[in-house]
Amino acid sequence: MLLALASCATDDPCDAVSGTCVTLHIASATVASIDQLELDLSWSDHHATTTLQPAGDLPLVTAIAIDGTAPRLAVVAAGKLSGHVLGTGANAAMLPDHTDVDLVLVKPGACTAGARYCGGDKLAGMADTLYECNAGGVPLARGECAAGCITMPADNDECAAVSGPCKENSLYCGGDKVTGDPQQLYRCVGGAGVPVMTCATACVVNAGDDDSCR
Amino acid sequence: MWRFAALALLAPATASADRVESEALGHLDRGVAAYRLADYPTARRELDAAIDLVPDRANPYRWRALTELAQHDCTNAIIDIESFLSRVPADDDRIAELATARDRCVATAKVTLAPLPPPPPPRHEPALYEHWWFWTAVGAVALTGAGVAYGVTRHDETTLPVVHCSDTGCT
Repeated sequence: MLLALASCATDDPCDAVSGTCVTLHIASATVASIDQLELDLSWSDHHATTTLQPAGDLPLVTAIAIDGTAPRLAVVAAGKLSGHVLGTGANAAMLPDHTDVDLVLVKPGACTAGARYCGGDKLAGMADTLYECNAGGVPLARGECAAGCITMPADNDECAAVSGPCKENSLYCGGDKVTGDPQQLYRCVGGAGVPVMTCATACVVNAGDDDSCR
Repeated sequence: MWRFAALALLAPATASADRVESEALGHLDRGVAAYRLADYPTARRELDAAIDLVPDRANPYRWRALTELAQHDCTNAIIDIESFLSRVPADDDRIAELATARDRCVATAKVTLAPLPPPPPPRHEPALYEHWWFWTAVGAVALTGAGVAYGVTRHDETTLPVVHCSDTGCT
């Protein structure tokens, strides 16, 4: 009961929001204060980044309000002080039931800027999502891997193909019948994907037709 | 000619190994996802399955150790941490995190290994802790402390502006 009373006393920023909303609690055992909080947010087939400028010490709380509905909201955060990343963390909310997410900032992993990694492999993120290492900030989601993310010891990690084989000369996003980057369009040549172009925002899987960049 | 024959024999084995790898990766992904959602029983089940399939891989041991730590199961966590450490190179980035957790677990275990209390004298007045209400009071104090700590922690949070996300991005 005391626990319930204590939590009732908390001001939930989602209280002021109608519709889908996730309350995000940011804390850290190693980072005391930050002056920038970069967030990388992925929901349905959308992806966006945003930056908040906290004036105080950790812990922090914010809310993510989403237009419409989504089955999951994945969040990766980077806490920065004077331009330096002090900690990163990741978590996800399964919607609509799971609307309170704790995010713990820990020392960032030693990833190579520009290289791609599955979440948890040298950078913070969800294990089923491919990210680009961003040395100056929050890891950037390339896309969720429907068939899982593959860690490659000596190369960029990539999304596993959902199924195969691919149809010769057809176009596919990485992870859709060809392994690769979900934000890259590939042509099926000899049963494997050959990169055609990198999509500026997202690669869209079109059932029964060539996949395409949005 | 014999090379082709050897390749023909190896091909099914390679395909089978790939299938096992893929299946193990699926269990690992689901285990990690469940861990992140604090669904530790599911995480443990999935990671058990991953380890059964690829017992020589390090990463499933790491995630299972983290799950066990979250469940305060230090005994099994220490075993899995050792299993992880024995499978990764000495300069692996993840060693420090788990070595620290292991040391913390070992320290905790030492605390719990307190010497047995001496046998009670044949006749005596009941000690304070033998009264039924003592442990009730201890429980109440602990619960109050936890509740207050939780409330204070949450209440100390600095509130940031709400982030609104739509098809065009987040602001």
